Amino acid sequence: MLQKTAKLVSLLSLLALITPSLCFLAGFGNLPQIKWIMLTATIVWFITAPMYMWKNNSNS
Amino acid sequence: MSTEEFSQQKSDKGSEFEREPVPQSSLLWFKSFVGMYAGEHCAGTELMIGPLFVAAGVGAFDLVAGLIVGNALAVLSWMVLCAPIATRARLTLYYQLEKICGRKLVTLYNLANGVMFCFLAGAMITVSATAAGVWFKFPMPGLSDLYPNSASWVLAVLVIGALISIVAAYGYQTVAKFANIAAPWMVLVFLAFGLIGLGQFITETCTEIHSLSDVWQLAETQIWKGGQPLEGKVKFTFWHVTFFAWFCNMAMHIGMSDLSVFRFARKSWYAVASGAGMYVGHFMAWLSASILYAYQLHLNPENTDVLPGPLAYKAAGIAGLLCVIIAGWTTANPTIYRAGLAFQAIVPKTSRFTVTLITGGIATVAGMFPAFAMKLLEFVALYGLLLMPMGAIVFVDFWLVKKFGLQSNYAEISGKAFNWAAGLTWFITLGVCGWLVQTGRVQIYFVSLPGWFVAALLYVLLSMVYQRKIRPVIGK
Repeated sequence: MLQKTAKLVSLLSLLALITPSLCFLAGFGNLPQIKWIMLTATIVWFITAPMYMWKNNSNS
Repeated sequence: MSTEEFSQQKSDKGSEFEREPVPQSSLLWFKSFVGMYAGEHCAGTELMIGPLFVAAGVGAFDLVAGLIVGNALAVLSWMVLCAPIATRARLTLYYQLEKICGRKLVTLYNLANGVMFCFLAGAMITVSATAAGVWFKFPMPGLSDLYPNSASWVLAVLVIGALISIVAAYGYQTVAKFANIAAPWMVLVFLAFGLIGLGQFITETCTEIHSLSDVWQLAETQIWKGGQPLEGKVKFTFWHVTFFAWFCNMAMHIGMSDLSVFRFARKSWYAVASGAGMYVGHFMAWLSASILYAYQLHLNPENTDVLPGPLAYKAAGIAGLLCVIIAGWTTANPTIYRAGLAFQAIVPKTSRFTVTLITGGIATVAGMFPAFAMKLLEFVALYGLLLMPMGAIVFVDFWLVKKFGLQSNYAEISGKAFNWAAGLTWFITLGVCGWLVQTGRVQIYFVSLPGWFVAALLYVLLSMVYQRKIRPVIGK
């Protein structure tokens, strides 16, 4: 259950990482705000992704 | 799955199939190769290469079309030249070379390979050090700098290089696992660089975008404008970009290094997976990084410094800086490790730990000299050229020599430790290519193409003479 949640949250963090830059390209949002969202998404990714990817890597 | 995890596939005896063909039970599926190539070719050095294209005065069509064609040729080289041999012989490049060239010549090859890996890792450390410069605000090297330009720069490279080397020596596998986790995030940060850079151009130039043709017009008139290259740089055309994209991994495909990877593939067509690395790392990432640099030049044409740290920070803040550090670190780590393996093959009694530390030390010293990073386009071309003749020898030995009535794997059969036909082929080919470049007849970006044919022809001719002179042991 924890792994499934971590997977979902990490995928959402990747979405949060790229969406602001797409919005910026479309003319929405300001750059300082985008930088903060990207940093937050980065932190979330590196907390949640190892929860399931680290184990998978060891198995492979 | 990383390259090193491929090598972790073990036999019952615990070996990594270094001196035996990979058995059916250890073969891998297509997915493993896609993951490996996508992760490995999105490296810190992409942040240097993209801007250097802009510094070389490349035009939009030349860059985009050149990258599409060049990367396709690279994928075809893996599919047509490398993988078919790998899936038939299922041996590492080193063992295959030992059978053809003999142990002593392979030692020389390892030395050349190890040295080039050290310099490449040095360029990656340079890239990571530019991120430290954003935090600590020390003077960083300019586009035309070849030597370290400040004590603080040397200190930054020393600290980062030492950290990377110690980690590579102690916890190499841990970093390899971390690199796999970072890969999807890193690819998206690279994409974000491009999208943000494009957005900045649109805002700055007040361009109205209604269709893709508007984007293309912006690209042609503002981003990749063509024209004269920056001072000291060679003008890049469609052909330069095509050949650079094709040959920048020449050591791996035409040079046959990736025999060691594709020996695990069930089918040779799995080599199409290399396209994931080419079109993510060598297309999207190069374009993204080049947009950031073009924007820097657009704002201030005097600021020609190619510094991935500040470029990434301006576009994506701390996340961008982390991307530069992680991209440099995770790719310098396996590069130092591989260089260490190549050197350890020369001095097998020395521990892998010591060799990796010494190798990291050499890479760190190389990283202090910005020449390797600022002249990365030329260095990468030289790297491919240096190892290419051995790839031609493997190809000819596997497919063609028997058709000329010659023995393949001649060193193994004759018991020779140095196959002079292969050795002379390597040296003469490099001599011919060096002469062509030095006399200005062919630029270094293109010379490997005629060089491959020179090597193939020489190997056949020299083998005819050499094999007549040295009779095989088996034949006696």
